[in-house]
Amino acid sequence: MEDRNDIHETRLQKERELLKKLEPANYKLEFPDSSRSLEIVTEVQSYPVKFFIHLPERYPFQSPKVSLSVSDKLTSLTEFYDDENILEHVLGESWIPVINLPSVIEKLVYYAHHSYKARGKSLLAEIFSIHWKWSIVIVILLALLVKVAMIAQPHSGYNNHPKYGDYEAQRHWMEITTNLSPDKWYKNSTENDLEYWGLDYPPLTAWHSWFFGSISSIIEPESMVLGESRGYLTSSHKLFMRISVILGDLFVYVPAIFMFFKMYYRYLSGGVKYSVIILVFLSPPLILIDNGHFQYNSIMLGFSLWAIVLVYYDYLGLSAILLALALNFKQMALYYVLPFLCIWIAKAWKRAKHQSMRFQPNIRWGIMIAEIILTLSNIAGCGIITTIILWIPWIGSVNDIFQVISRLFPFQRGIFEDKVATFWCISSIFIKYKNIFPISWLALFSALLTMIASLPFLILLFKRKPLNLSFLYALSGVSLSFFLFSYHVHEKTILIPLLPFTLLAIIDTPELFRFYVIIATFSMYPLMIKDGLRFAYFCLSIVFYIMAGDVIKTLNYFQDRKGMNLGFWYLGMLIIHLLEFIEPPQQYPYLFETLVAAYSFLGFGYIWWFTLKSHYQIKGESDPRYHLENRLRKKAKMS
Amino acid sequence: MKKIIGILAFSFLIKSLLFWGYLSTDFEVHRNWMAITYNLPLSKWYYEATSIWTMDYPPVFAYFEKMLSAIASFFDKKMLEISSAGYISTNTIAYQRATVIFSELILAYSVYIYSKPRTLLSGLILLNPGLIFVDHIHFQYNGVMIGMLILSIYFMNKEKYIESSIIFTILLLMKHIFLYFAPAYFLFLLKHYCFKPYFQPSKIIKLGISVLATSAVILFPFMQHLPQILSRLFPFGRGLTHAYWAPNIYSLYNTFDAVLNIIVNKKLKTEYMQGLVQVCNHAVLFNITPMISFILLGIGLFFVGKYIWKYSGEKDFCISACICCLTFFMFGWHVHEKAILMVSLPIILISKDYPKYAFLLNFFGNFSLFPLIFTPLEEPFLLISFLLFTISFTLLLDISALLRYEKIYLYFSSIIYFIYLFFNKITKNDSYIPLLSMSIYCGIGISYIYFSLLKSLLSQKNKKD
Repeated sequence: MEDRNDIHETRLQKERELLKKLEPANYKLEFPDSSRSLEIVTEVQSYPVKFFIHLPERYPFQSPKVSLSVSDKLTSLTEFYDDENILEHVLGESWIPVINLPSVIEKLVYYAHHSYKARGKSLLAEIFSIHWKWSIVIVILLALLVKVAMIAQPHSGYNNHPKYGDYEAQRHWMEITTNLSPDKWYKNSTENDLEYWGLDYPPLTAWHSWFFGSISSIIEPESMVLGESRGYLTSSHKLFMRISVILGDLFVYVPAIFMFFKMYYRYLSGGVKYSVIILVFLSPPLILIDNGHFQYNSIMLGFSLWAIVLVYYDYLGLSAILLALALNFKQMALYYVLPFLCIWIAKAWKRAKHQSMRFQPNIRWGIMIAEIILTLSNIAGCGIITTIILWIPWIGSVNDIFQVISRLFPFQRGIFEDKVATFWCISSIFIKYKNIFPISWLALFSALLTMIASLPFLILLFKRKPLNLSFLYALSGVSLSFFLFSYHVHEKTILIPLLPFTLLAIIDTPELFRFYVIIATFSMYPLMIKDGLRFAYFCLSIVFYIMAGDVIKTLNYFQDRKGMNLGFWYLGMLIIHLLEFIEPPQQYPYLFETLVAAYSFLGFGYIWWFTLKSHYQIKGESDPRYHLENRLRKKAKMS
Repeated sequence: MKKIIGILAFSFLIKSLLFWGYLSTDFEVHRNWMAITYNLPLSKWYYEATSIWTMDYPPVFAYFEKMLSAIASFFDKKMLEISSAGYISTNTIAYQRATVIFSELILAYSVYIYSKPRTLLSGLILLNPGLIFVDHIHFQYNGVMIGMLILSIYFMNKEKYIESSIIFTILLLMKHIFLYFAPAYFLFLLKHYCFKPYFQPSKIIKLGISVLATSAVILFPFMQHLPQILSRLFPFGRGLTHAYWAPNIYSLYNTFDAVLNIIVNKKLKTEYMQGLVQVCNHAVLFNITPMISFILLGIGLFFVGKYIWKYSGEKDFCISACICCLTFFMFGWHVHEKAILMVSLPIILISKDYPKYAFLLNFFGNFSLFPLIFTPLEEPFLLISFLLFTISFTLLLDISALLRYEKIYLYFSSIIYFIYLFFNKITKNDSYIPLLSMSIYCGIGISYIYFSLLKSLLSQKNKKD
């Protein structure tokens, strides 16, 4: 024991001498000879930041305790709710005895100078830094305010008798599901004319329609009369429909976003965190499609996001259940499936490796393989059982299953519809695929091209660390590849790649996040014209642009970063908007729509390239960004 | 400056999203006025009666409509045709709604300069649910006028008395309801300008000339038509209370009457419950004649005058103006429920000194405006904006001064809201009960605020010095 004490003492003595030799330029150090506590004072923009370091008995084998006191005139991007983690986060790694005090002090001072800034730059951040306990309520209410203000806006097919639009489709599904037994939902019959907005989403959507349809038939029975309620529209029923969207949003999507930020951006300071969350909620694309055009995307996105959060928490089975729910709500969640498969394998591998360490080397491999198979089959089981439960009415006969599946994947509708910002639509301006190749070939081509575009992200997902960050990159890259290259894509589907990229870019490259949101909104402009939502489109986009500008300024100010200049992209969009006033030539009636699609395609292509590039450039711990990332994000605990 | 732009942008967004919602007849009123001022020479403005919505605001507002109509012709020529049938089109709605939003820039500016270090207060005003209900859903131009009022109050506080009184004169000639503030202006100017430090006749003359000159310039073109204008501005034959009783002292009186009616006459409805605008008779209690209401008003104004003359010394003029206007609201003849905005918005600016009163007044004032918009599609918006406003108000300001029974009374509002929702929306019953309960609830609240505010203002001297 005495030897040990000696070691402690000599180490301390050495460090004291080292510290005395230092001639600090930008901080003051107090370390009385008899004391085991240091005090470091440094000035950031003429306001003091104080660190207290206490050296425990067993130092250096026990980590020093650091606490912090900051002038209230200063704020930072990160905020520690407890002193426990300061040192680890500043160092970017856990404490090891090799680290000595001078280097700790150096890093602390560096940290103080690079993360603390004078208060009062951003409006939103200022609002939310005042009362962060109530901020969640305020954020939700602000988001809700915009959504309820959209209620009276026109919906799709508003004035389009007798075909109507997505609004009527959703109402019609409620009508079908409440009046018919489940086995008839997907089958053509006299009661259920599939030509008229037949159900073409998976069973969970059908159950969801059934649920709200049942409520509607109690509140307003006329709205759900089989066959006779086509095109039914009263203001009270419209209110009901609009509220059903908002409820789904509120119970699935909103908590998922909060959970994600709580988990992934754990140490982001309250003010910045909530102003960023409000930006996510105010992104025009989802509002315009869900609360304007009328769809229930937020539920699918919410389930997918829950699945992501659960992967971060290492609840792999649960994440499979949630992903299965998303998939069974809208088959478009398939865009997310490949990265999920990969991260499940990666996590299963990591877990198995960890588990097998307890065994003797000669059986480790066997144990590992067994572990991996066990974990993966657990995941697969969770997903499959969820699906089976949802498919109960159809599971009995193979015919029924195929009937549902053929409704979900309408091959005959062609490789693209209308003018979409996808590779196939844009390149078909030059090559008329439909005249050259049969439709099944086109399906094959698109599948191949999608795979080729997704592959680099999937490979990088395994190769790049930290895994959680890499996963988000892969999600955004793969889903964007699906959007750009896969078969029969709608313009609304851009919501799917937008979500992971939003969460990824919002802190690191906020300019790009804003650009992506704006161009995604822009790509849906022709749809907005059709729906009569043009006005809402402009209002939402402009206000989002301004509010995001405020947050971008704050984030760049905190991170000492010069923003990316994307002004010319916005200029291009502005010019195209002005071109709308010019009549297109007779032979090209869809020139404007094509122009919008082509420009958006360029924008999405740029995002795709940027995602790939920065995914490739993650360099793990040697990456200078890594430490910041690490401070912002909690490392998932590997059990 | 940047901060107010953020708030302004968000408020613009919310207000523009409400464009295609419910429209009241006021929308057609203003369209008709635009048509009148666009097509007819100035001399005929106040005689034109093709549509039932005749011009009944003072000349400055007519000028304002004339200005709007000049731009309107670029959007839709048809909206500028005088007709009794009314006209509506997408462009008309967009244009008229946009004029409300853009004219509100004056409000934003005045609020900004008034509350400079505390910019967040401007959010409470620009996103005030009452203002949104009345201006942006129902359709009126209160924002621009309250903006001018605040500007005038601001100048008063900066001791620029002449500027302040000129702005107020213009405002008065824009909408005569701002007479509610006139006594406060008169007394305050007399006390703090003319009698400071001793009586100076030259100051009175200066003030008089500037006010009279402003009015003369504005009214000169209407020289021969002044009697006609006056007859339009002050129509006879209106009753004590509006169809929906404004939450003032008379709403309580009417209720008391109705209760006695049930007990004494065993009848359910009184004349006041029929939702009429005309003069009605009380069933049991004696009628309130214009004379009585005038006397009550006089008594109220006496105390307000006493406060202004004796205690308003170092204080913000805003509170004097507010309490004066509130007196009119409480005792005035045929008060509209919308008039509460003229108090509830400016008082937010001084909410640092009077947090409790500002909060309660906004709470009851906004709550009483719910029945103004009765269409189902707007209902969630009303609720959410009300909740957002109320919660942010409690967060931004310290309202810990609220007493326990006051808090209980506030929570009681949720029950009133359900009664209101249940009777009116779900059963589609035309019963007067929901409106009645709403107006009594808010009437008690606002009367309570009024009397306790007056009391605390008059006893201020003992507390402070």
